[in-house]
Amino acid sequence: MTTKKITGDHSRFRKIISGKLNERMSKFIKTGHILKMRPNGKGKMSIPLPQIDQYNFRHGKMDEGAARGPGKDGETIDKEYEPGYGPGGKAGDQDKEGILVDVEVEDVLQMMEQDLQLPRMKPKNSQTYENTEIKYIDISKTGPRSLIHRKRSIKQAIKRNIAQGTFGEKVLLPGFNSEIPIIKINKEDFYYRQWEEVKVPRANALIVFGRDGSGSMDDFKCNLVSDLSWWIDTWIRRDYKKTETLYLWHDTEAKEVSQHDFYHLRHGGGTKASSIVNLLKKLIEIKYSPKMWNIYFFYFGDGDNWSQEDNKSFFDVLKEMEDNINLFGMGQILADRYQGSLKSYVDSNINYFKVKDFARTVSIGGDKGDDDDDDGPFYEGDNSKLDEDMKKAIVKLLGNRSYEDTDTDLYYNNGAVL
Amino acid sequence: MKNDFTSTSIFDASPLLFGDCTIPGVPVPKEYEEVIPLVYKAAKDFGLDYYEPDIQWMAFDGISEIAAYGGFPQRYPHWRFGMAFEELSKGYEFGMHRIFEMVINTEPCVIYFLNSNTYTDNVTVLGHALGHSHFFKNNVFFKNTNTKMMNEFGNNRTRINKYISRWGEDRIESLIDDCHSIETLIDPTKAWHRKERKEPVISDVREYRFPRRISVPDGHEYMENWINPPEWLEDEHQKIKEQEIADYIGIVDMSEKDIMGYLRDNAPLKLWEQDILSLLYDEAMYFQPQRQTKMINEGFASYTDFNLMARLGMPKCSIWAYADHKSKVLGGPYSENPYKMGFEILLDIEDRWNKGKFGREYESCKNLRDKETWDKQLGLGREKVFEVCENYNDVTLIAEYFTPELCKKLEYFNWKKTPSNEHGVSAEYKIADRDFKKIKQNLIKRYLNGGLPFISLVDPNGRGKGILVLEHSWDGRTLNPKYSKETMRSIARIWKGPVAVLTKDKNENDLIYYCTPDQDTKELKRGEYQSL
Repeated sequence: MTTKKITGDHSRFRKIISGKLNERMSKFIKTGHILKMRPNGKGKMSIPLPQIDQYNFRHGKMDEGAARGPGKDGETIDKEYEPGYGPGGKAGDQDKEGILVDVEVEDVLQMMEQDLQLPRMKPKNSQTYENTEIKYIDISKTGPRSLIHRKRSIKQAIKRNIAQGTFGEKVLLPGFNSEIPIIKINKEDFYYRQWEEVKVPRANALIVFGRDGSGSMDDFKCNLVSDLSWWIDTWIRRDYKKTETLYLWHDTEAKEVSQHDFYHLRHGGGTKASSIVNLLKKLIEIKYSPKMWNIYFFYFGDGDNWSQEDNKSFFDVLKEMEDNINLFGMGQILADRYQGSLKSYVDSNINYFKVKDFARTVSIGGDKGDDDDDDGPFYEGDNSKLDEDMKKAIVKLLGNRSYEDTDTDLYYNNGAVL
Repeated sequence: MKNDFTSTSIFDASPLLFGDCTIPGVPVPKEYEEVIPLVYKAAKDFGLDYYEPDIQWMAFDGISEIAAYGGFPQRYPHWRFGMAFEELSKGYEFGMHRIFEMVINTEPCVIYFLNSNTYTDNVTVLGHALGHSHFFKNNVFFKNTNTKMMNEFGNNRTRINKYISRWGEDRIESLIDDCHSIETLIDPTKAWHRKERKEPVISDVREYRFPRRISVPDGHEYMENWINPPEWLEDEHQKIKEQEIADYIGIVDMSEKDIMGYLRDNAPLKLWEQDILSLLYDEAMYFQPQRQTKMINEGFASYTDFNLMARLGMPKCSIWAYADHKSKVLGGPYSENPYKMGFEILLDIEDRWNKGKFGREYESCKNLRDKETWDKQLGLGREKVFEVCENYNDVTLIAEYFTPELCKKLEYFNWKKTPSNEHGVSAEYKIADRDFKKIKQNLIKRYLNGGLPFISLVDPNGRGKGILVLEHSWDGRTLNPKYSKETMRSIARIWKGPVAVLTKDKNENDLIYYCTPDQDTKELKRGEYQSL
């Protein structure tokens, strides 16, 4: 096969790009900005890079020139839409966002793993269910043609040729001017791959997202929830062979909804948070046996609940389910000003859970809420703080590497899962 | 399946088996066999005088590679070709643009064809490419370019590869990056200069120079003081003395536009660095006529294919398909791309010389109606266009043939930008006026020096401290600060010493960029520079 000359230059360019990309990506991850960029399409996400330019002397932005077209004197032909571009602005100083580069999500996750110190998810120890899997790790002398082990076969052919003394024999082939040395392969030389059944521990995950559906959850908050849950989902999926996602939604009553409804359904009714845990409990009993599934439950809301008693029953049911669920995460968004909010109730009783670090609560942007009288979201125009908060929320919900014991790493390195 | 090799069918299909369509010399498809000689003949009859054409038929990945290399199969390794390749192939995949034709200034003239173009497209492209080839062969600005440049590029690749294996990719790459920054700082007229060989400097021999006296005939010695007055001799002695001092401390009296050439000869470079710089200088010199004549070149090629395809007509080519092709290339009614502008000016010239709308009689005619319907049926149009194509470049073409009538016909105007203010009103571009003189000035500014600022070297030993002083001839347009600063860093790295650029800002105040090899570029006032 002829190799193209451009390949070397192209790969060099890709290398330069990827160097810039890593810089750029770590910047995005540091500000938490990446949490709001979700991949479009499967397995890849686009990250904008400033254009790579070759510098030379050139003119700055011009204030006058000639062009063609109809129109009268003084007519406006075009406008400048750049924000913050004033008469004192530096012309042409900003980087052009030139190229969109596709990155594998796996790479992003790896960088996030380094930066945020997120742990790998580990299955519950109690699970003993084993799955059989087919793996091609054996070799045999017979088999279908599609499974020919080329390297072994050619090795065998060379060995045989040498033994028979026919190695390097020259043969005149049609299409060639002179005789060329060839290796003759016989039918006996072929080796075939063969499969074997391997037993692996089964680890399936069920990711449950619950959301408060009261009217106060506006589009802005729903987008936040959507971004957060996408990354949580992606992160957990990484460590399990099979995952399912369940979306639960509640006002005074809870129900199972589709993904679209989960992010868009809104209702002006009251809020009864205990309904959602009751529903989950029922679902676990009927459908998702905790012996088969590792269940992760994340709940998002703005903390406003019907009454203190309901908070209590929410907590009680959750405590009953403690053995069945791997992790409970709770994100309270943009409001923590209610004295008796759900989060503060869970927080104050968090020591009653048997497992340390089972329940993780986080509030996004609402911590200083009490001295703020405004009803609107905290982040009008200030995205950097929101980005930071998103990042903190993810780290808190999924945990930090420091919680993890060293056994888990060993467990994964042995390749038992994945 | 039989295992013997008696059948040769497998070898016939080998290019397909390898999954690679870039193998050169893929035969031209049968349907073109008839039309190609016809196009050649029509072009000869039309009056074209071109280099022998060599048609290369290619699939898209092949043509992308070639286009990334600027039309040549071999270039030195550098990532910018990879970037161009990425842009081209991405653009093709997403259907944003496609390459119609590519032709290079070599002998034989290589014309690349894209196999996925339609029949009419490809026939048009052939006519267009022959127009380019005629231009390359006959235009005066291409007179001193090397028509065997393909070999040179191949040699350059080998040379740079050799240096890479000796000194490492990173070192070579950063040097080439720096050289790319200054490849526009060359003097096109140097193509006409004889190559000078630098003699080794022998500093311990002093040449004595004397003023040239005018000889006085014998017997007229009394005239000596009149013919060669002592005051004048004294003055000359003084001048020579000053010149000697200037030579000794290295002051250059003239301003030099050929900065890349100056750096190649005088910068403290290692031999291999100098070699790389010199070969990149040669490549830049090879490409500069194309920068100078972009518009007229494309205009002439468009004029050619217009004559062959629309006025003459080729077999099996539909005029609708041709019109569709042209509309893609030329753009909309108010498009200003070089194809369209050159084409329109040349058509105007043809029309004027066909009707005799030139010369003193026409110019002095006061009757507007007469002027409009002026037609002497001279039929000199085509001859004139060929003459123009031999002797003009973009700037001179506009200067001579962009007339008030044409300006009015093409609806040109001047635009002006109104600045934005603090109340949130964003900047707007407005039509200022339709003043012909101003329009012409603006157009010439756009094409002068390829639209790049004039930078010249005024002093290689500025302030006696080895500062390379460059001067920007300011004409109302400022330098782009970001790009200038980065470029100056490149120059400083090559010069291995400080560099200064004297320019002016928007309000015509003095502005000096100053840069040393290991510091970022600073902006200085005149006073700060004086106290360096």
